[in-house]
Amino acid sequence: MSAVPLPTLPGIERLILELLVSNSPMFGLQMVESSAGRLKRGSVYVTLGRMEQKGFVESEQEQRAAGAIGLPRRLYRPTALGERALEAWSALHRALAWEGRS
Amino acid sequence: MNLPGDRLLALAKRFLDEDAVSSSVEPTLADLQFESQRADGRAGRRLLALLRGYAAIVRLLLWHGLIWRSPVRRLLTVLVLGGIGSALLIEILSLAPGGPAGLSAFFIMAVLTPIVLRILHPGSSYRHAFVSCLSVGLMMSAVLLGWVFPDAAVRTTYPWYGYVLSSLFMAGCVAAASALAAAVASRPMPESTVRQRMVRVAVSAVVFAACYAFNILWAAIHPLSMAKFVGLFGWVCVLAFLFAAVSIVVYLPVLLGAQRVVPVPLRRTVLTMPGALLFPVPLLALPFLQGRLDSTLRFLAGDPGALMFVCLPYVLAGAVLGWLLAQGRVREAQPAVIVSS
Repeated sequence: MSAVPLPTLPGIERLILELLVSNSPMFGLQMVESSAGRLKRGSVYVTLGRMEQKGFVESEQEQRAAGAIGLPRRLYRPTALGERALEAWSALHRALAWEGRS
Repeated sequence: MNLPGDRLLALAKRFLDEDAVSSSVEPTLADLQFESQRADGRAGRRLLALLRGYAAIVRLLLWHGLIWRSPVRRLLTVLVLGGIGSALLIEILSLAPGGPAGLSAFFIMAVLTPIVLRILHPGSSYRHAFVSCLSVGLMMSAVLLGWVFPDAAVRTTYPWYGYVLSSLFMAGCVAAASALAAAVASRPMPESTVRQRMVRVAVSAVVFAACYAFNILWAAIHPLSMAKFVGLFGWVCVLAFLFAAVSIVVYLPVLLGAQRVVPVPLRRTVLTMPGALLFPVPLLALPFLQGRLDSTLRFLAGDPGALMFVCLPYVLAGAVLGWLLAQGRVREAQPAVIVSS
């Protein structure tokens, strides 16, 4: 059996990946607004930072017009690993749900 | 032009971890500025955006502990602990001046400070732990003096050098207590062992405090007023602290020594007995410190009912400590027994 530690995918990270897979790229605030209250403003960037370290998402600063004021926001998109992790989790979920019914 | 959150960002860059600022604080402030601009001059919407943005920052700093990962976390720990201790001191002093109640805040903080330091700053050096404990104690002493000194009756009682001497004495007491607390907080023992033992001592001290409070409530102070409650709380804190201190100095070495001397793991009942039988040590420690040992012994010897009443919390708490220590030992020993059989 392989001893390589597998990255975990908690519920909040799953939700973010689902949002990003269907609407990539997104700002953090957009994710908060489209999560129906499940993501909080004060938490979303901590979770996104953790997911970036795991390699599930990547980010870049938004391209801004000349003369724009204020801090630039960050745009997030899922990585190939993130998409595969979500697919794997969905497959596992389907399999276990089938087991549960039988 | 300064935008909302610009100053906060400058402060964050100065005091917080660089990664935390770029990955969490900056995007949160960028959202705050974006929403504030989106309000487009409507004051209500702008205010709502600012409130939401700053609430998010507070949540980020406190709830997600960003502030405790910053380079100034040790200073913050001292300020927070000193602030809590000072508030506790003023609250207790304003309700029940004098007696052990007034000093119970110092005792609580003397126990809390090393525990919090141990949790937040594992692997602290002796010097760091000493300076942190000393700072908390000195902050509380300064607040105590500031609270007492404006009282005209107190101010005219003593000459000025009396205050200097008493301040130096208080600082000396705090330094001595800090040196002891730092020795506990920075001991090179595995974290889990220290935590388990301290939790067991704390559980037995809580048993003692609950039992003692129940005894007093039932027997002595009916009806219970707020002042009596605060007085009782102060006594319970002082005696529970004394009990915990005696447990660390006397009970733990005796009970752990008993486990080491006897080659087989001791059963719970066997280790519970010495815990219960060691009760005279903490029971007589306080009268001894107060210089009332003879009168206390005479009183207890002359009244068996009072003796039983007073002894009960000590016997129970000592027995609980012995039982808990044996429980840990039995659990550790179980896999070896299974393998050998």
